[in-house]
Amino acid sequence: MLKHPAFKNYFKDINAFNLPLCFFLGVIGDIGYAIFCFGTLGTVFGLVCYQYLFRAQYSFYRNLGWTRSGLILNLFLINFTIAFCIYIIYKFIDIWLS
Amino acid sequence: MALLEIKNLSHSYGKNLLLDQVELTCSTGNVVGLYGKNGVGKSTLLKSVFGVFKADRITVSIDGTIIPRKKIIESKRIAYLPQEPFLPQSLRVRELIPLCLTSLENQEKVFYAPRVSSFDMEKVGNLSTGQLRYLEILLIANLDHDFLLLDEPFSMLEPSMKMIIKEKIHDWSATKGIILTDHYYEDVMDVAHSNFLLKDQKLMKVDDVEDLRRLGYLRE
Repeated sequence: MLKHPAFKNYFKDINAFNLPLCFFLGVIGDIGYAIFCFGTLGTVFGLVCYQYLFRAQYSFYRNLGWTRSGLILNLFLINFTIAFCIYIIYKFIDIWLS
Repeated sequence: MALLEIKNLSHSYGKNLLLDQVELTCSTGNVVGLYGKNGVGKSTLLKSVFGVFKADRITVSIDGTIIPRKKIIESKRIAYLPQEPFLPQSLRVRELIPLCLTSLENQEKVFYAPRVSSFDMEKVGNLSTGQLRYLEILLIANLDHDFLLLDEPFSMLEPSMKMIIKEKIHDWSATKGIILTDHYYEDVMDVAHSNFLLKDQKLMKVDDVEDLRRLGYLRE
């Protein structure tokens, strides 16, 4: 999915809201929770912000054959996979350091 | 040649019937002009055909094959130009064109379209309203889709850009079917091969400005 240039743009736009939230959570709380948030609540937060600010841009993706539900589903799959992989790496490093 | 058929389009808001058993066909090579006062359902019609609006009843078929509402977008047969700006604002025009059009041939049609070179380094968000509308139309029309639904393509365009778009619509209609609606009725009539007025929930065929006047769209 990320090879598709238009989807990559959508991914970037949503995570532009998601990442600062996760970073903030990582700073004030636990890094593990911030990673978990990236694939779950942070993505929801990004989607809500995008819906509020850039809702009209869904027409751009629709013309390229992407439905809104298709975009959201793929985004969740990718973000969750990324978060899961980073969490595993984080846990390995955590165990190795301790 | 492809044929787009819209049948049994009905929709009501509460007790107010907006569209009643509307039927419309458009084949590639044909430009259909839609007219109607504000709020009669022109945009609702186009959104319903594109599948982004859930009408009470509608059957959309292309070449005799019914396309379910949820499959219209994925089928990539129909492109839709909405009234409101919809392009990602943070990208530069020259980044956006390849993002939207995958074939080099189609990209060049936009890059080398009149006036585009004057703003292709700009960010989309920095374009003037007219430039943005012009770019939107060029991008949508150069997709490989068979049918174009254009909702107010001439609004906010300066006269020279309007002329370019009218010429382009003529060119695009060689391979595409186009349904367009705009309150600049004279511009629509210049490019449309067949014209319909949406009034009293129905589509009525019109031939000229006199018909629009007779049917109450224009003042006597």
